[in-house]
Amino acid sequence: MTEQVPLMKMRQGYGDTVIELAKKDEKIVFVSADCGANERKWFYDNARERLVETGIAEANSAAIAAGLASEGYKPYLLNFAYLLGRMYNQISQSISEDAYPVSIAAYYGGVWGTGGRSHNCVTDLSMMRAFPNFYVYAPADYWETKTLIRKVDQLGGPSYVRLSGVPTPTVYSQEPEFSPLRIQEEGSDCTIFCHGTMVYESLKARKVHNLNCSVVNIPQIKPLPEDQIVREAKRTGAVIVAEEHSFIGGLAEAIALLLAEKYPVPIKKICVNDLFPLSTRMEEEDIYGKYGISFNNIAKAVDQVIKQK
Amino acid sequence: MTTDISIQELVNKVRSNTFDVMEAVGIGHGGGSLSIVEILVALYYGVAKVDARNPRWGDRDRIILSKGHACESMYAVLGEMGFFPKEKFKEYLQFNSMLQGHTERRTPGVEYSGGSLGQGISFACGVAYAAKLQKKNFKVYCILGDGECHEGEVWEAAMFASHYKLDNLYAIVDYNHYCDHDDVDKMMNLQPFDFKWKSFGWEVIYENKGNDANKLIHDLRQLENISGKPKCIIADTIKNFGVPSWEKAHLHQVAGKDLYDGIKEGRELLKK
Repeated sequence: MTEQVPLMKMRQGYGDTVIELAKKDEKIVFVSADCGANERKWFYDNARERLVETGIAEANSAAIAAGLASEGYKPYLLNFAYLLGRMYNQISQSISEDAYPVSIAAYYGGVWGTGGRSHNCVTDLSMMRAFPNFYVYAPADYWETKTLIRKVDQLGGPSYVRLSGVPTPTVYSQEPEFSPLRIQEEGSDCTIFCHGTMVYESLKARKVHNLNCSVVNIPQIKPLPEDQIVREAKRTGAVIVAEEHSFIGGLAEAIALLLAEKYPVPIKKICVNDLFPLSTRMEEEDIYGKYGISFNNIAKAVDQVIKQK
Repeated sequence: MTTDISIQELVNKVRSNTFDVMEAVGIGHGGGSLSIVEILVALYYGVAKVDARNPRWGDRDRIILSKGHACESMYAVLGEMGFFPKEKFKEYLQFNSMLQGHTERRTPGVEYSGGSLGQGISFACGVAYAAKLQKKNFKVYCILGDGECHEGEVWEAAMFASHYKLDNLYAIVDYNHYCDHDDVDKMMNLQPFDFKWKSFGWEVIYENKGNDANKLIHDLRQLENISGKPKCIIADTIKNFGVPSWEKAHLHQVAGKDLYDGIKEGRELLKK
């Protein structure tokens, strides 16, 4: 994993797939509050009436999406992860209560990005996990983004897909088949559960530090694939959860609660602390290390958790 | 639409039903429920196409109660129309009842699960936009509270409706002049209220007699002739209309002895 792998944007995977689906399905509408890139352009050029632009009015856009869904449309709503907070109450009452099939996706989920505290978001999973009826996903790379967009298209219920805002290393070389949980590598010392960019980082930790641990990608954050997680925790007897998200309300908290109830094992979190991420230049070195979530931090946590077995 | 029974008789029945719903549990949003009885009768019996035996009929007009706390009169009119048996009024607020404390789609005939204000009009915009996309002719009516118009989202939606020329969308604002705590304009001035809607690109009728269902029916029909823009009726109403002691106190929510005394007073007036 020290070799160069292609960097690709999850956002591109989102747009490519939404366009592909929208070409075949006239029920798909794109709801934008001044957001979007290639997919917005496609709707603008090819199906302008299915581009539902609200202007910079995020709250309005979420409740409008619900109204469209109530009439049989399949709204795709895209915005910044941090701005989901502008829609909190609308997502709750207008979308979640009646489980309308609104497919929400948001970018700049994570610490990377030039936008700083108001745009780099590490609290979105905490908010989106809490809504009843919602499915919550986080792809590992460009390719899995495509897989997950196809998945949410078929759900018939509300969903959230978390995207990074910057190009990220690819884990896959083509679209993987959908699975709520995927064992990327097997080992016996411990299991690293992870999602998003931390899948690549965990695989890198395993390879660089020659770890005998499992790396398990969990793109489906909610509902949690509980049985498979417990089975894996039983097999190795120690767990790391790595995510580019606050330790409050994300996958780490979900897995800690699950295992506390079902099968307590030593567990360590590799998460962002309770903070707002700062602006980051793309050429910045070791940004994950600065937030304590790099492959080196993961390897250290593996070493510690094994000793607790 | 009705011919064999007068609109005023229907108004009285729905007001009486509203009392029944509140009386079942001894609490209710009497103020904002009683102020919209005439609006509901004008819509359900006067202009809208709905079918109580087929609540999700595809071509029905959509009546969206954005001020979801006025659920008691909504249940009253839906029960009167036969969307569900009136015996259900007794189950208001019982655990897992189809009649919740704010309108929800679990109730036959309810189009929108409300409660948190300002969103129903956005939802209605989405429905009206969908109707245009599908080239369907149904209309979308949205009942808003006056205090609800303090919400910024109402004006985001007002811009949207006008931008997309949603002439299938009708907003009826219940201008009953009181929020929970004070005169709505003293709390946060809405004036010039009709001009605000006009300046957002809506066709507006200010109806001085907002508690006159026949007037409202006339206004709604008049607005049907307007195309190319959304339409709004500001209905100047009286909060708690039909219960003078509550009207005087501008009550928002009422419970206990005040509720039972007020309902007695209201029922006496209905007999006259």
